[in-house]
Amino acid sequence: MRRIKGRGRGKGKGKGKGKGPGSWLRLRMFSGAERLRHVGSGLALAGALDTIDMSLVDHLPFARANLRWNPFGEVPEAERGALTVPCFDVDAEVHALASPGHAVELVGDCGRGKSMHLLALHDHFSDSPMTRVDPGERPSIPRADVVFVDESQRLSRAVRRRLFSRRASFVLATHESHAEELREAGVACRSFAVARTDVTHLRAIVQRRIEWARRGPGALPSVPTTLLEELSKRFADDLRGIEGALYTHFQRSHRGQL
Amino acid sequence: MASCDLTIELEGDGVYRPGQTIKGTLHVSTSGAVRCDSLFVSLDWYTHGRGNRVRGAIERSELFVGELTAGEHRFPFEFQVPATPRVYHGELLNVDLELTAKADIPWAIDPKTNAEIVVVYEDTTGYVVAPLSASDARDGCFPIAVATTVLAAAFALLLGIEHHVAVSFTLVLAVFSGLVAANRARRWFAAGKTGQVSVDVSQGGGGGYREVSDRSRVRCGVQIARRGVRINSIVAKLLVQEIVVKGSGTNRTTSVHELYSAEEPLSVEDNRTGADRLPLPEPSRIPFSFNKTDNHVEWRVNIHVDIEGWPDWIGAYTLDVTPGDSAG
Repeated sequence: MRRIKGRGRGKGKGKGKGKGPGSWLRLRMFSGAERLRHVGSGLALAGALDTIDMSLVDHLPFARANLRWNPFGEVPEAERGALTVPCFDVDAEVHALASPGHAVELVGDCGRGKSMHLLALHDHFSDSPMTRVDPGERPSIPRADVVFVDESQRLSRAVRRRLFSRRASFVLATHESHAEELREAGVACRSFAVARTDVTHLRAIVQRRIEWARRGPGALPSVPTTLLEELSKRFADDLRGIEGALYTHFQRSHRGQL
Repeated sequence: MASCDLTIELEGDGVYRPGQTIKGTLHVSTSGAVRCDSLFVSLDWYTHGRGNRVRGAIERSELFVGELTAGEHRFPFEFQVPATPRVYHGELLNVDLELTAKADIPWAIDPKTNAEIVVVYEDTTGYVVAPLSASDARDGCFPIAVATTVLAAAFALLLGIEHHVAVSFTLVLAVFSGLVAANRARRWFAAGKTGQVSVDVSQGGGGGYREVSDRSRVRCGVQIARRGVRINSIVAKLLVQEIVVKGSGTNRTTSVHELYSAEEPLSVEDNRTGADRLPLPEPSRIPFSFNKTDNHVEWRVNIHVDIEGWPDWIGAYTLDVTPGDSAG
């Protein structure tokens, strides 16, 4: 028998404990050779792998690494906010945004994490609609206490002026700062450049993604600091590029190509 | 608000074969009376990997509607493991099955849980190949592209005397649409020379589903409608690839990973027909067709007809490939 338990807002990661005899192999230790293979592949396992259902290992990719999927695959939009490692105090900004006349703008180039930060803030105002402005579009931005706009640099200056004159708070993800326009409209604006290049921040992002892919209780793989430094050097603050490289790295690792 | 916990209990080890029955019990534990608008278990497929995730229900079993009293409740359920969609683990795309149990409780966060289903397949001894769609070489955009080029060039000449900026812009437009028109022209003239080109990828003629009994090859036949066309060669290329799309809007990115490719020159007879057998991959190594939003395993045959002294005819045919019979 297998039992998988969920409660309340369970994310359904299949976290469960074996019930029947023999169906789950508990506290399975990696042999020396296996441990070396994983360390050598760049996916270092922090400790013993336990509670892995051995009947699954041969049939599912990443099961041996205690993962359900490649951690650097595409994340569903509903889960992106929770995976963000914010570069500012989210609670403080949420508190400020609760009253009208405040704005948080997230500034950066493509693939730097603007939308992820936007979604992290949106998780605290889930009733507020979010508008993404695609090229050439002139979307009508719904009225709300807190207005979320992704790619707000694509709105014309006139549309932005009308938007900022509303009695509301704003969260904007943009390539170029609207701080001046917001101040002119009497909105207190806090600008954050979301691009980060330090390895400590990158490690936190990577660890959160690996935790998201967790199969069950026990140790998870970790990415060596040398690899993170190499990726940081190669891609600078391009998080999307780093994610892509790590996706390929995990694919190769689980296929034993590294 | 009373708490409500869901637990899925499966009989066996959770590893199944297509056609087998998944038997289990949904345990519901409530600390007080809970109104439940819907309590269900569904067998779902879902994708993961480099592309946008999509999921769909294969079968859903409604277990209870009404008021759950405080305590423990058991709801048995069963599903049959489907033959398709097949579980697949590739480079860019993965397809898995799982059970999802959810209680719809008004004015509360709905409790939910999932259980992974592992499916193993017998080795298949063949494929079932059926044509899905064809992109003919003749392209209706060609006359439009030519018309745009001519109009843009004429407009540039008319404006040329006084409006230098406008003429520059229009000339750029004329060059661009000219390039598009040149490409379309090649396809247009090729299709005009050959007439209707019929392509049949299966065993025998016609377009219906056919079992490929020869495990290693599939017949590819090309028939050109017009007589008197001098054909240098006809080459068919069978291609299997994972195609996934991530992101949306301007952030939409398509990734392609080639799984199999085989190119074969077809034997040409009477300058009108070409036929040969294309080598197929081992069924255990290559996935069958999978077509869901942003996530595809595409089987296609590209046909290249080299016409003497004339632009080449090029066409692409998408196939729907499903498993044949099982070895076991």
